[in-house]
This record gives sequence, C-alpha cells and structure tokens, in this order.
Amino acid sequence: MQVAKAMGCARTPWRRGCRVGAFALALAASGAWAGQASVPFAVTVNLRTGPETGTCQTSPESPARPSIVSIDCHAKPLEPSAVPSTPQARDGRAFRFVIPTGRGDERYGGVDLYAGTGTITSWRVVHLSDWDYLEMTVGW
Amino acid sequence: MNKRLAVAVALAAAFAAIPAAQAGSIAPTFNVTVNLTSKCQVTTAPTDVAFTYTSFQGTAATASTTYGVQCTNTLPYTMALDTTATNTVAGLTYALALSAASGTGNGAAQSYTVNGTMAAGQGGTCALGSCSGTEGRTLTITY
Repeated sequence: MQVAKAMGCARTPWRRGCRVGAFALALAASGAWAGQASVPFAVTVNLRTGPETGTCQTSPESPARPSIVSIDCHAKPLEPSAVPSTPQARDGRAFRFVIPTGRGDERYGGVDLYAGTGTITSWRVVHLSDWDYLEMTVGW
Repeated sequence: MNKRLAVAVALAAAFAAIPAAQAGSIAPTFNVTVNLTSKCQVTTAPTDVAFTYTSFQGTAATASTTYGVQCTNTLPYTMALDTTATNTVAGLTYALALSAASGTGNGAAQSYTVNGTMAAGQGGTCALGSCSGTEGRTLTITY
C-alpha cells in the first residue's frame, strides 16, 4: 500500500489497476522470487523379467541314506548338459521341478538337475505308495 | 650588523612561514558501493537415478544420485523436484525424495542427494526378458 500511495494511485482514475501494479512491483522488489536454477536428470529402470540362471545339483547321494538329498546351487550359466530330463513345467513366473529320490540303490530320474536361482517359495516331500520325491517351487 | 641580522632573520622567518600557512589538508570522502546480485548455481548436476529391478522381487529397489548447490553466503534457497503424472517407468512405480528441501548458502558447494525407491512386488511392463526405460526429471533451486 505504501508503494501504491507513493505511485499516487489514489489520485488516478484507474485506481484498481494501479494498486495491482504496485503490488506486483513491491513483490518483485522484495526479492522473494530472485531466481531459479534448474537442472535435468533422468530416472532409468533396467527391468529384468527372466531369472538369473544358475545350476543346482543334488549332492552325491549315499545309498545308505537315500532319504537325504542335498541341493547345491551356483550362480553360473546353465550348462547344456545340466538340463534335466525329469519332468519340468513352467507355471507363470516360477519353475516347478521335481527331484526324484529313490529307494535304496534305486534312483529315479537324473542326478544332475537344473533349477534356477531365486527364492524357494515352497517345497514339500511327496509320499507316494511306491516312492517319495521332493517338490519345490522357485520364484523370482 | 646586529640590526641587519635581525632583519634577515625576520625575513627568513616570514618566508618560512608562508608555505606553512598554505599546507592545509582536505579529506574528501567517497563511498564504495557494491550492488551484489545473489545467485545459486548447480555445481554438480545429478546423474541418473538408475534402478535395476527384477519382476516381483521380494525387496524394494533403491537408487540415488548426488548433486551440488553453490549459493551466495547467507542466501536461503529451496529445492524441489518436478511433478510427473505417474512416476512410472517400464510399468514400475517409483518415488524420489530429496535429502533436504531447503538450505542456506555459504559460498561453497553444498552436497545433497536424490533418493529413489521402488516398492517390492511389482511386475512392470516388458514383453522381453529385459527392458529398460527412462523418464526425464528436473531439479529446481529457487532463491
């Protein structure tokens, strides 16, 4: 208002416009909007939908203890020879694979099994009438 | 002789007194004025905030970048990021936050951080084994 008074807005026929102009002038003079500095940058996303490959192998099984199966996984590329011949189905974004176990010296399926790195979301031992097997679901 | 000597001494004294009478000093004053325009500048621009994400991963992804701001001593300033409609890249929603929203200049470069987070469990949008996306953002310093 002091600026408006100094500008003599009270004596002008266009008082309202004069006062608005005076307010803008006062705001600019206050230094509240002295300046800005802007700089661009980017947000980047590298989205992976496929699993990291790795190799999992069952440990050498002891014929004397056929119920114990150890699985050793390594984060290294899949060797073609490690592709399992056992039943394997892809369900959504998880592999379901079946690790056969045997009775005594008898063994079902192959010994070397490929799974995939990730998180074991569930596992169970399936008991059938004539054999048992371990089933795991791995998600990532 | 004494009279002549006295006259000579008197004259000498009189002439000697003349310059002394004219040796006055003057001390004009003047001002040194400075019109300082305050300013802020970004001394180190933020680099990319780079996320690496695997669909449906179990933990949140984080990424960050630092930047430097140099402002006139005692000059207050604020920092803000632009707003986007979705904050989404490759179908993944992210959030950015500044380590500080304001500061006061000290004449030297001051370092700040842009922190990014991407929540866990997102699938994203990608028809291939991997995809990449970019969204441009802007950091603004107001002073």
